[in-house]
Amino acid sequence: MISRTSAEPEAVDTTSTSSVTEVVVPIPQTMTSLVSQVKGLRDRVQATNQDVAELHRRVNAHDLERRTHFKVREDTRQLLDRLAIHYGMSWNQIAQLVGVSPQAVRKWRKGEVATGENRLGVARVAALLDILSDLRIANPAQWLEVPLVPGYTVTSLDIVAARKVDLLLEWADLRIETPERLLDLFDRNWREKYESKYETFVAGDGNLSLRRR
Amino acid sequence: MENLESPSNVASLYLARGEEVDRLRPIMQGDVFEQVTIPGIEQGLGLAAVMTHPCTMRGAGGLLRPKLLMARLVSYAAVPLHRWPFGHYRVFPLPDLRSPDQKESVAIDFEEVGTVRSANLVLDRRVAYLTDYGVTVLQQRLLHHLSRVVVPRADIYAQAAPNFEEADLLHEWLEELVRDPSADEEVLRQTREFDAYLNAGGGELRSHLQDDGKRSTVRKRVRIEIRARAAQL
Repeated sequence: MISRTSAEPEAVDTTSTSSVTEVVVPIPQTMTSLVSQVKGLRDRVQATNQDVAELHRRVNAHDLERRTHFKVREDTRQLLDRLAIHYGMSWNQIAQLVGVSPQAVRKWRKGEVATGENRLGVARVAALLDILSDLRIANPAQWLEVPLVPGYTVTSLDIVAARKVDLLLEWADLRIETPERLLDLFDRNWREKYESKYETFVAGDGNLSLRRR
Repeated sequence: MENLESPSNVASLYLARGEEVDRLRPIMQGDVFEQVTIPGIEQGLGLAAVMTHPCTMRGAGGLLRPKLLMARLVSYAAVPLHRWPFGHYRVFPLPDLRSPDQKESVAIDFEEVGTVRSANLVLDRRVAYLTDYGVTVLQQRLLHHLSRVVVPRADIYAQAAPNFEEADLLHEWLEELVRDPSADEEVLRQTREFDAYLNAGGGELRSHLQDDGKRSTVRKRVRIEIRARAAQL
């Protein structure tokens, strides 16, 4: 407990030299010691916080892989159906996240057998969507495809496609304060890369048109 | 500074080509047909690509408008992908058009254009269609050719996304509900059914397609409807 009395200056030393009066306020030893102790404590908390954050990221990654290996036991077509009907993802989005062409996904839907690597890829997408649901994101597919910052085209899908799922999970779990901070961590040049110079608007015929922002 | 797009690889341009082409895929900007005559262009039958913008190519019932703007494909020396932003502005190169193994070097010529009756486009003569990405690269080059303005491809995509979504969902609808893909009448009937479903209730679903925050809900609802209808077939 901090004692108010001990934190107060004990005396004021007034030294007079010719016409200038210098006032020296002595800092009590107890205060200096306290500042030092609190600083040390803060450094330790910060270091611990960083360690725990890193541990959290590793546990998240492990959770995703564990769920993926459960999911991969399911039929790939069933997984694709779940992503399409339960979550409402587009085939193009699934292809983007797995890292294959839309035509490849179409072939799997028609029954062509995917390679082991691609089956894992589909299972990983399904596992990620489940985790996002568990994090109380009501509509994960929608959450992934909406631009993160107005005026910029970058979405959470871009972050997953860039294989930075750990970052996205931090964002989904509200561990990153703002979308701008998330994007700074994702890509330092995001403002130049993803700036949208035009905006869409509903034109007189009911279709979208573009105009300069 | 904004540049025209430089695709990272040829495959990213094509959704299907050659034997991959599915006749149930709705016609879209960039589709390439063979044996097409374009009135006013003195080359007889040849390869041609649809140039009409996706917003304006369909009318009542979701059916194609009577006439579409088309451009002739011409033989054109292969343009390295990294050179696309810096020249050849009059064309949209279509490398390896029918197959990666068949080195066919052609390009859409933006100055060889005319209107073609959509009834004259035979689905069995479609040789390739583009990905959403490919269509937006085409639009960007066409816009630049006509106006010398470079519009960022991502912005072009934002405008065209509802059309791409609608085409994808119509394709799913037709794949699941058309029993005989070669029966044009059945394809047209199901196209009208799909259009009526999107327009039901004042067109709520169709308007939701314009909102990237609601598209996933439209996909879910359309797919559930497809399942329900397929169960009754």
